[in-house]
Amino acid sequence: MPPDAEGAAVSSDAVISCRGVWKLYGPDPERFLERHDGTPAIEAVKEAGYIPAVVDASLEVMPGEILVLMGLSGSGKSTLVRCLSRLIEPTAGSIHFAGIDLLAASHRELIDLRRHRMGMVFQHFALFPHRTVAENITFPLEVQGVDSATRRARGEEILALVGLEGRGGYYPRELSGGQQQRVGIGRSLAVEPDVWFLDEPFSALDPLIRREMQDEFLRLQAVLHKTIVFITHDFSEAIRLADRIAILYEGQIVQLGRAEDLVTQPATDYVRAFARDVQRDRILTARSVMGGPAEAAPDAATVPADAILRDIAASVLSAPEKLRVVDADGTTVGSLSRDDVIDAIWSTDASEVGDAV
Amino acid sequence: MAAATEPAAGSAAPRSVTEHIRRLRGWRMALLLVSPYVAIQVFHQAAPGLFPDFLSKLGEFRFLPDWANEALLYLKNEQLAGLFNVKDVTRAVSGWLEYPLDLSEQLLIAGEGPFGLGAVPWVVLVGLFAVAGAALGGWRLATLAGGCSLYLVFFDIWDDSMITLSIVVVVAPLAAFFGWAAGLAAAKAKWFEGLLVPVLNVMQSMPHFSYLLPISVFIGIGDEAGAIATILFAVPPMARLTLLGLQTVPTEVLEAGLTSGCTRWQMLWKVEMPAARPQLLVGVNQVLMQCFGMTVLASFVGTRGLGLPLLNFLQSLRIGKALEYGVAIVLMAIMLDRLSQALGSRRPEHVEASTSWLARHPFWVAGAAVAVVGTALARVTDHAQLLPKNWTVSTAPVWEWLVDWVQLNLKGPLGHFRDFMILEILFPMRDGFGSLPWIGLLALVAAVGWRFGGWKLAAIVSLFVAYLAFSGFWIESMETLYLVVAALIVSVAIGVPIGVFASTSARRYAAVQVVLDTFQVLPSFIYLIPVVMLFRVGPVAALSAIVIYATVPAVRYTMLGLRSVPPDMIEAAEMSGCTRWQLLRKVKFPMAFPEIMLGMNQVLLFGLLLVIISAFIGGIDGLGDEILLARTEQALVGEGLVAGFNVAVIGLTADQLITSYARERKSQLGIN
Ligand SMILES: Nc1ncnc2c1ncn2[C@@H]1O[C@H](COP(=O)(O)OP(=O)(O)OP(=O)(O)O)[C@@H](O)[C@H]1O
Ligand SMILES: [Mg+2]
Repeated sequence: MPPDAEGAAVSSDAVISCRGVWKLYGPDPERFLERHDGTPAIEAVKEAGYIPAVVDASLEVMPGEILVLMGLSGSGKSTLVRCLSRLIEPTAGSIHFAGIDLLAASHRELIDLRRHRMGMVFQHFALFPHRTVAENITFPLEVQGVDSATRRARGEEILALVGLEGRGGYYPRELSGGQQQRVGIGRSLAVEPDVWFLDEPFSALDPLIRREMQDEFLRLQAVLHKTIVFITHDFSEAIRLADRIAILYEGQIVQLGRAEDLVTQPATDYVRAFARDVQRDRILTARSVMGGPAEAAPDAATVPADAILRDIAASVLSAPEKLRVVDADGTTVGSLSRDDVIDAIWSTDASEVGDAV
Repeated sequence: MAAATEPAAGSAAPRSVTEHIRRLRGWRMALLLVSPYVAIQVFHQAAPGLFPDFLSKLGEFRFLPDWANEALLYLKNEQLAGLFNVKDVTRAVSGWLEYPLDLSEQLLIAGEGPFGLGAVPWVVLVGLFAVAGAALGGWRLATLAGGCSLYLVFFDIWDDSMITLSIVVVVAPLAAFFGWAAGLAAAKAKWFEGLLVPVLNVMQSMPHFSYLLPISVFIGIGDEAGAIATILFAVPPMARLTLLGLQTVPTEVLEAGLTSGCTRWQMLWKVEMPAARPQLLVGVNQVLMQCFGMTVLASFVGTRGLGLPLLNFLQSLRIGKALEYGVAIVLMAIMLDRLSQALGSRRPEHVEASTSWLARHPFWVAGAAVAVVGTALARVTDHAQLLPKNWTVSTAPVWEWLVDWVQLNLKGPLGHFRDFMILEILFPMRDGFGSLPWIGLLALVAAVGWRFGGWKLAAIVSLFVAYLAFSGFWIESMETLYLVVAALIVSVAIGVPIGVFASTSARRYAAVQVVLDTFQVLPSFIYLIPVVMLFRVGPVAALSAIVIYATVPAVRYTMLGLRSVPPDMIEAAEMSGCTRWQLLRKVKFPMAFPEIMLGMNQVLLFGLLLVIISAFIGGIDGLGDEILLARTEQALVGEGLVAGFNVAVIGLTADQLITSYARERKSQLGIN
């Protein structure tokens, strides 16, 4: 989509909203974009020797939402997030952060935003090796000039929050990988930011610890209700955590939607390939696989429309006939047969599934 | 250049000729690259009448040295831009240095003077060295530091070593600071980096005397001249390492600092500097060792300390005493190196919150205790303040006896060996290098430069050789080069096999590494002592000194290269049924070769530096001789400076060619 006129499409309640953001690497990217009226074809970009790290990205992040960015290595996830926090200067586009035009913000304003509203967790932890765990965690407070007593108290709170009580005096290299990432998480939470950026925070950890950290993350989010942009290239991680998922391919956002939408209505083969190995019964709801309401007997047993297949599979599979699918106020909205469920879960071609919706 | 046109005939290349040439490998490539040179040589030898003379030798050009002399005179006597006189400025700087130098000397040894401070008793200093050793590296380092300083005390070298130390403690912090500031500026401003790096390259390939000579012109002879030259000499490594440290801070760590809301100032002091700390401390270690070595060598311009007596003993061939001082220098170098290295490799560790202040800082407490007890002891007995002469010992007679014995019993074989080397190998080689037409050498380096770095590199290195031809010291340059090349051949012949042997087991590797590290920190001056003992004067003595000094990098880089061969590649070769010899020849060596070439580059640079110093022992001609003459003859300083610059140019030529070769070969082999 073409970049909108300044702020036109900024819905008032989005925490982050970006429009037509580009990031090209190369000799003179600004001039190159200008020459192509701001919207060169991706082939033209590559032809000219530029690396399209982010291509015309537009998205909004709502308060309290977890938006997951997914894509293969090199698809531009990190670059996009770093544009959103302006660690990297985008080549073109507009970004609004809590209503503030981020790209017009002065150095001072930017520092203020980072000191109070943003937190970031890094893929390789990025801890300061010369500081203790407590000093790492309270570093953002220290640079704000918070006094040491307050810092110490806050440090203790956060150590408890991330499960590192008693480790405050240790140095990062004295901790395990999982513990180090807890420190990274703690540091990003020290200033109680509204928005939390996490760049593949768990991908350097082994599967068991990763699982544990995901649980920990969900527990924290249940308490903290942050607005979150989370990067991963692991689809099952995305599904566990995400409210919405954006799939990136060569810098472009090829699809943005709920996990279920990606599985049932993949926009491209690339998305389809991502969704292939997913455990469908954990994502699909009765609503997304049901048939027409007329097909079920009026007195058949019922299942809620928003139930996940895994939870209702047992009752559907053991029922002799089609079940009624009902929504929250009890109206019949569809029917569900044994075959519907079996097809949905074991079908390899996801597009068939969504036909009924 | 010549190489591009040569082989065009005959080869029906499907690609362009250049492309075809670039694809040649191994001996074919080598043959091609030397062909222009060979063509010129053949022409030169076969038809001497036809070969234009000016392409072979450029007569007695003296304009560069004359200019240098005039420039120096001008700087010395005239006002620059009508504002200030350079000599006044250097005099002022040396005046400022005088105060800290005096103060540190009084504290460490002299004990009286304008500040009215007493010297610290030797018992306290020895104790403090030991405590510092214990704090930084446990009881081993404590023993080393305490033992080394006791040697200095009991062999009656305490005074001289403390004078040297008093200079080092003043100049090292200054050099470290300037280097740090330059490195920081380069890391922050791209244009300054572009300016600084080439300057550092030249500075680091200039021989020590290029620093000492001009300074002594402006300041005269003495401690201050040595101190200023030492500061200049020790700045480059610190600047380089600061730049490296700041440039290699992981991006994520920088971003973590930014997202925490750091201002630019906070970024620098709270994130970048601490993250660059390991490199900065390596820099401090190097500055310290460079300062120590240069202060010793600055005895050539009259700087006092350990160097001056050593110089005198060597000149009067009192080898026993010279050896004792040599050992003192070695011990002090090792002590300073190990202490500062331990400082650099220290990693913070958590302490239990409950431990008391006393228990958390045991070494501060111990240091204070040593100071108090030692000072009290010195009040009680003068022996603790300054060890009386009759308590000191000397092993000089033993060494003298040994030297006499060597001279008496080995004179025959040593003499034969020396004469054989000189008459059969070195002189013919020297004459060969001397008769080289400069255009031939230019063609050679241009061809190699073109092959590995394109036209740009070819132009640069051609310019270097042309400079040598026009500098007025072509013959001297060749006389220096031949000796270095001879040393290179011997060093590689010795060093590579040692490197291969050392790489065969982890234990040997570690052991050889320790030996190399120790050799590396010794001031170059030291290497003259044993060779003077064996060969007195002449090219064989110089050659041996260079070989001892320059074999260290040959071994080190061979080990490095062999060690960096990926293990799975070795496993693959073993599974293919390679014998150990085949493994070495067909897999490890080709993989390690670029690194070994880098080692040769180091051998050459090391050799160039030492060949100049070894001119001191006499009997060899070349650039070193010119430089040494300039030391005693003020009117010849211009000559000395140009000769010193020639050394740098030779070094830079080799460095440019070899590093571009290694870079290309490494990327072909897929080594980082
Ligand atoms: N500083 C840079 N200079 C040039 N190209 C860059 C730079 N930073 C990133 N790129 C390129 O931009 C593209 C996107 O990189 P990015 O780091 O955003 O990918 P990613 O999706 O985060 O990948 P990963 O999963 O490996 O972290 C890549 O092709 C990368 O090579
Ligand atoms: Mg990334």
